[in-house]
Amino acid sequence: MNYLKRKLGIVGSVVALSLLAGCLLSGTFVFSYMLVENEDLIYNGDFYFASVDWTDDDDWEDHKGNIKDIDLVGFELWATNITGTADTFTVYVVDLQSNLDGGSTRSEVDSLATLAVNDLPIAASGQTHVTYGQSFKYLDNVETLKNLTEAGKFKLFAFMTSPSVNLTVDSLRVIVTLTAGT
Amino acid sequence: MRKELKVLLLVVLLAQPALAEGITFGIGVAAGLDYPIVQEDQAKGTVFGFKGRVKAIPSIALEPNIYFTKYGDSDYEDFDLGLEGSKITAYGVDATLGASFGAVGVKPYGLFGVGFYKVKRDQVQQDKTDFGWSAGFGIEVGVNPTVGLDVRGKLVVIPTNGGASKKSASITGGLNYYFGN
Repeated sequence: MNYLKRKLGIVGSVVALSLLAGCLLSGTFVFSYMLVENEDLIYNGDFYFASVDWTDDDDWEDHKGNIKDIDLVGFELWATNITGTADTFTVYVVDLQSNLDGGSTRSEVDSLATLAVNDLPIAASGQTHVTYGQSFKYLDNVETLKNLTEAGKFKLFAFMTSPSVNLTVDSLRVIVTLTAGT
Repeated sequence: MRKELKVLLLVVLLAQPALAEGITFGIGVAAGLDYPIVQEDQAKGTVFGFKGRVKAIPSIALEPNIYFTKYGDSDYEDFDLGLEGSKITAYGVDATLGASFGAVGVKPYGLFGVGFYKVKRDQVQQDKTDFGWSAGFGIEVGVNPTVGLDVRGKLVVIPTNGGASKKSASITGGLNYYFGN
């Protein structure tokens, strides 16, 4: 019996060491990147456009070579509607190879880009806050978003449904929960 | 559901020889804290569960079990994510080496277990079941031949996509009750 206990003790020790090694090798991390800050959406007269590239971001560089899985992609929005009309907020994305840019028309973006945030309600004459946890119910095409997120580069188009509603985006950041090695 | 039935069948099969030989068995309840390890989207949570105890061979007992964990909302440092913690339902079998099994006194033991871990976060429609394993140590204090106080700590590893894993450490205290002593 003592022999059996010793053998099982050795096996247990090996298992425990493997577990400890595993703990050091991977984890779940939260990455955030500010997409828009203090911008008026009536930009270029029609929508806000940005070319996003976070591949040189220090936090992203910590993980980008070791990403095992993109668990969640969402956003946090702080926005102020300075008009007295409630409206909805929409975001489209495309990869960098797309010909769409700030000179494109809204209908071109509508038909060629990927819908990311769909009709998020914006209150009239006040500030709207959507947390990361609340953002998931407004997302569309999540798998495409995960692919663009992992690439770290894409083009972004944001606008109000009604062009006459002037929204100031105080901050819009993308937030990614990812599993990666360390 | 099919996986749950397989586990239940395994538990019943493992228990049959012990019961046929008149070997004692027990039941237990435990509760405690669960600490996610390198999981920035979760915070410390609570765990509670139930187990059976069947003596397989001397010094080794098998424990079919079910545990329920609720992690706290993420306490990410930079800003409030508003992200709810996950709920985990774990069901499986642990093997303990050196447990007292109805003896009076203090008995330390080691444990190794396997099981299925159903991880659910309603807020983001996450619902996934993975096979995982655990290992740890504990101490059981036998108050009398039928009642034991049990304290244990264990590491849980749930392998996920791409060779990574979700890990946590739990510490629980509980009560075991033995039949047939």
